[in-house]
Amino acid sequence: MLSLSTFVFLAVLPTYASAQESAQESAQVSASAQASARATAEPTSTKFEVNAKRFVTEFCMDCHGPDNQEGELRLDTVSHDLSNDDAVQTWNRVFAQVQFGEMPPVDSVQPQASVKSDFLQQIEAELTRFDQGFGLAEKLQLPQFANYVDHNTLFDGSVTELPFTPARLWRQRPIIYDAIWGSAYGRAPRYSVKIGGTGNHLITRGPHKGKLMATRYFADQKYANPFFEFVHHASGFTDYASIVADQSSLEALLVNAETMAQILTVGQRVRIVTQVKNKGSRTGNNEAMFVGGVTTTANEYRGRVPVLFQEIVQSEGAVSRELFEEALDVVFALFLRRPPTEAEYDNYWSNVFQKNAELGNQMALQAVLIYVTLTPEFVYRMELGMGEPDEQGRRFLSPQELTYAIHYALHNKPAFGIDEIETVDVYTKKSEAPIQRAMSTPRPAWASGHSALVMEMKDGNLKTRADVERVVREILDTPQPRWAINHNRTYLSTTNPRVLQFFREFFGYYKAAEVFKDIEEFKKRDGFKQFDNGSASKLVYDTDSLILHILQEDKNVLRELLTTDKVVAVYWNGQNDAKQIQRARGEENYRLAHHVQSYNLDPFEQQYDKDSSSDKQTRLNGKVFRVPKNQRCGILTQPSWLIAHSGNFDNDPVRRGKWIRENLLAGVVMDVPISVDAQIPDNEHQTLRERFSVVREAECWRCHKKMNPLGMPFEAYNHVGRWRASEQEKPVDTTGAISHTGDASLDQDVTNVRVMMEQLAESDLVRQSFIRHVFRYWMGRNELLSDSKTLIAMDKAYLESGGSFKELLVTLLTSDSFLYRK
Amino acid sequence: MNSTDRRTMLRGVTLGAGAVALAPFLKQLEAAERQQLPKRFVFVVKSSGLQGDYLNPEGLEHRGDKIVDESLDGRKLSDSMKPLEALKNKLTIIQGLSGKMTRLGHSAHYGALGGYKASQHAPPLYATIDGHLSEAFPSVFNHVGFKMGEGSQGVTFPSISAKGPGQQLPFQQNPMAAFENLFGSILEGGDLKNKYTRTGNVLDAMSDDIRKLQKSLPATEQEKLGHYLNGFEALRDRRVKLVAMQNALNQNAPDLDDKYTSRFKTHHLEAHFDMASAALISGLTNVVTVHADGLDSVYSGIGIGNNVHAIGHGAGYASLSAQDCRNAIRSFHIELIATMAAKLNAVPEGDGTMLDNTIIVYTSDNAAKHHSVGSDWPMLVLGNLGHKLKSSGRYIAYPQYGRAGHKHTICNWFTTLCHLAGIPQDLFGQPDMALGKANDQAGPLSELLT
Repeated sequence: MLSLSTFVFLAVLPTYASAQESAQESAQVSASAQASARATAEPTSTKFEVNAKRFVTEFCMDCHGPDNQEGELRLDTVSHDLSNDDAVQTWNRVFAQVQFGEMPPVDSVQPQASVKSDFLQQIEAELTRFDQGFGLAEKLQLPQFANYVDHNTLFDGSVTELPFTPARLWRQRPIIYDAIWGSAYGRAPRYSVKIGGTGNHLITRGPHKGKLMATRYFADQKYANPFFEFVHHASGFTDYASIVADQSSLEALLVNAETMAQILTVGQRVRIVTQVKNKGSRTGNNEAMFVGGVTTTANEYRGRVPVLFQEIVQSEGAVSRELFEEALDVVFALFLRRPPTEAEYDNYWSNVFQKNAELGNQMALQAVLIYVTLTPEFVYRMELGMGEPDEQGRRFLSPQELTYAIHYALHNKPAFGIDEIETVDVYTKKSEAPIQRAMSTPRPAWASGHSALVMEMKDGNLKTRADVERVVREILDTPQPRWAINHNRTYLSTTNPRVLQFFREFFGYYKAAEVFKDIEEFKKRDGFKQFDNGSASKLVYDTDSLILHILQEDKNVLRELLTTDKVVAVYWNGQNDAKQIQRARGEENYRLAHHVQSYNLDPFEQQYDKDSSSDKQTRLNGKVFRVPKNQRCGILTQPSWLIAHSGNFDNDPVRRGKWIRENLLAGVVMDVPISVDAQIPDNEHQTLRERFSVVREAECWRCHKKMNPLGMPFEAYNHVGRWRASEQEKPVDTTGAISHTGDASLDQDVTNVRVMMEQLAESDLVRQSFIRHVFRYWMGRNELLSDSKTLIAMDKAYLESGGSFKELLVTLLTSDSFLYRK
Repeated sequence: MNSTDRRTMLRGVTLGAGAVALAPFLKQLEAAERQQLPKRFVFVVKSSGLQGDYLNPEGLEHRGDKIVDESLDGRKLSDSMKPLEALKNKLTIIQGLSGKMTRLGHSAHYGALGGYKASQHAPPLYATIDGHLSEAFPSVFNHVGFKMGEGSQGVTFPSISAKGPGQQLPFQQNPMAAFENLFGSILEGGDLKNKYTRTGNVLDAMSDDIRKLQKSLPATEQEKLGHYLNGFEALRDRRVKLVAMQNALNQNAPDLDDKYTSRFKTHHLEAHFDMASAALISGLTNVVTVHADGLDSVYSGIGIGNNVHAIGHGAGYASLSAQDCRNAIRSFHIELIATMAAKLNAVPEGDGTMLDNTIIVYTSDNAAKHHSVGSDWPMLVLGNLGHKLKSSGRYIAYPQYGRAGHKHTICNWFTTLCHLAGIPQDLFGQPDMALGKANDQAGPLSELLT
């Protein structure tokens, strides 16, 4: 039997590799489902039977009762005994239909949200009793299931409960672990010495006296991040508090910790590779040029270790408790960024240090270092609510918790730096000057200052909601004059990188570079000549920049994002360089292959001088082009978004429609059932729309009606995002529809993308759906009904501020949902 | 020692202390063995390309328009393949696979075993074939990797193998540290034993602490922390299993001789192969990857004082030309592989030997050349996995890349391995867009399946 859990994990994934991924995933899921033996449970629970009968009688009897059995389903006589396979199958089907809003049909009486969710929970509970459940409660914590929380209830003001977040642990964000670990403990250093070739150092002594020496120091990042990035297909969000650290995390943490313990006690081992030129060698001073000769390798140590650690390592016999405690302060400062408690001094002394003392002081100290970077506190951020409880039993975050919460909301770097620690250089040899320079360490790699937020906290200025509002505003008000993003200045270099990161993850356009396109074939194809190997990445940077530009104005942000007719091309300075035209073999080739053709712009018509422009913004960021309104309409018509949501050879209206359904309409779409071989027939004489007519079959249309009509207007673009007026030599059909939104004023047929996006941009539902995603990303969890007050306040702040994203964010970061734990 | 012996021996151990902890593991082992013999996979990956021209037996050529499919019976193997003469009926030489879906240059990194675009510093996109198989055939250590290198680090991440998206697999580099990790439980005293004990102490103390912390958390978070705690318990279980395997380990562990501390890295590689064989025979793992060298490796132990990169650029050493050096390195690898195969072949298992249930693949992380474009990616295969691989000594060369008949990529070979392993899947890695749509290049190399 195919349980629901098997297909809810499958997404509509058009690319080859992701199809492979999901096939593996589903294989795993079904294997585990088979493996779980069915428990012998008590027969039918009366509660389930009574409630299920009540629901079915009220909402299902017209079509699935004694008179009619549509879909060959009769529910008045169905068994409630879930030890019976047929019954399990039927109730699974009922669950899916009700869950996905397919039943009861839209034109009949609908159950209240609470009645519906009670009914679903009871089916799940009963299925679980017979070991046939699909872990609804756990699933509802995953972002791809967040839209199951009833939208109207969240925003209609009926919820009176005060918001809070359940006390939680939040696994370290991979990029922050990398910032703490990568450069300090995650490098494999190599020092290359070439003797007898070219070089700028003359050797003054030893066997090679009089020869030239060239040296280079490499320190490659080499370690495994234990917290590998995890992207939820449906939501695109990478950092969610429901993600766990498991055995693979631990194994990587352990390997890393052992290396770190070595580095902090005896230093970083450096491999010195010496190549001495011989007769047959080619010469030069870099790897490719200096070829031949005799190669020898030696290992030396470099780096700075804390003086207290060296003292312990070098002391013979027992270490005093006093020295140990001082050293433990340093260990905590390095990794937990706080002083140890009395209990911790005891625990580390007796259970870690003393227990390993017989292995030698060095081993014992290393054990302490390893231990601390395996502790849950290092692996998980603790958000327990250490402040005072209020009358509802909700606890305010402590100043330290607030510091982490606010800093991590906006940054990808550690909040806390390291107070100064006295260290000593481990390299003491007298060697040739360049070696001496490369091997000595003026400042340890882990040294870093505190963020301004930590200073506020240390000064006692981070305790109340007003404090939070003040610091959040300060951080968000930090000026950011440059909005142009490129490979040298990515979203990570922006003032508050997590802001742009939200839009990247929400829209998902940054995945454009992951969709494989047949570049070779494009060279001879009209409309594709502008697309080469680097195009996808450049288009992503363009969209990054456009979003930052819109955020800089901070007015009607969502409306702008959905409807703007602006585009930017950050890799073009407005000039058409003669050499490049020559390289392209003529003006016509240059024109057609130019990056701005992705936006249907002509580089000769659009030529401008960036550097001597009278407009400061243009000099700083480049020109903002306005393009015909029928050609571009917001982020969803940016080539980057279109490519990220396309196939290898075609557009993908299903995926695009699904994105709109889930991200803008707070809707849900059932994932592809595993029995469906989601293939669209090849036919080079038909348009994609025509080929898609196969999904009009009733069985497919049940789900596809929620996606295809929303995705079809994007047929106005080819599959690398260039606008086109015709397809297969006929005018391109851009019609589509907004439907099944539950908002009658929104549902309508549309003639093209602009009509659709303008309509969506005006809608309350779309704005609120966007706000729900903002909430998820920054809270790292799905919204609960009890978050209703927060969401309504966000909506209100956004509207009252004229569509300011900053106000929306301030409201969230000062909300009860953000500040209270329970 | 065959698997039944191993089981009996393990049962003997459980009569002593630790019987309770071991019982489920033994049951699992017995059940697994009743059903089928284990399947083992070894990948030996060299850098700087594996030159296909030097693998062809006398009278056979690759890079043609049509498939060349010949028996090795009665054919003279090429010079560097001589050590495999005795195992010729278990040898398959595959030529003409392409791997243009990878990003080549000096190395395809994860792409070599994963069949996708990868780079040294970016996290891997998907599992590589060895990582994939290691998850499917778990053991005490699901995957064991060795890498000849400078020996300064215990563990290194050569960006070759991954068990899933973003999850690169570690490789043991320093032979002493590798010995500690795999066979540390049988050591008596010494620095290695100390390290082994230290890590054990830390794991023990930590799981107690986590349990204490867990009690103070709400239920959902207890569960979350439970996943982490399970990790500790799994590592602790591994240690218990290793204790239980003392006899098997003592019997099979290589001698800690001067190879392990030699200043010649080639001796380290020999030690790696010894440990790899021992790990497979004693049942520590089912999947081993040996990343034989890197561009900066120096084969001074076999008389080559130049590094692999220099040789790749045409530099010779002393009286040896660059090609002589390459030949010597390849011969050295093949000798090591032959020795490993002979060891496995000496252990009876089922109706045959351990080698019959093993597949050893020798290839390069950079196709066939020092600077490669991936049009030609040789695979030398030893063993046929219980005759599932259709070969009793076979040479198969697919049509050259770019010719009409070419549609055979390293990804097809990886799916072939999945089929051989009994976990069939028809897509692995990324497609080569120039060869047409993804589905047209899916599936295993059907010629190689029985």
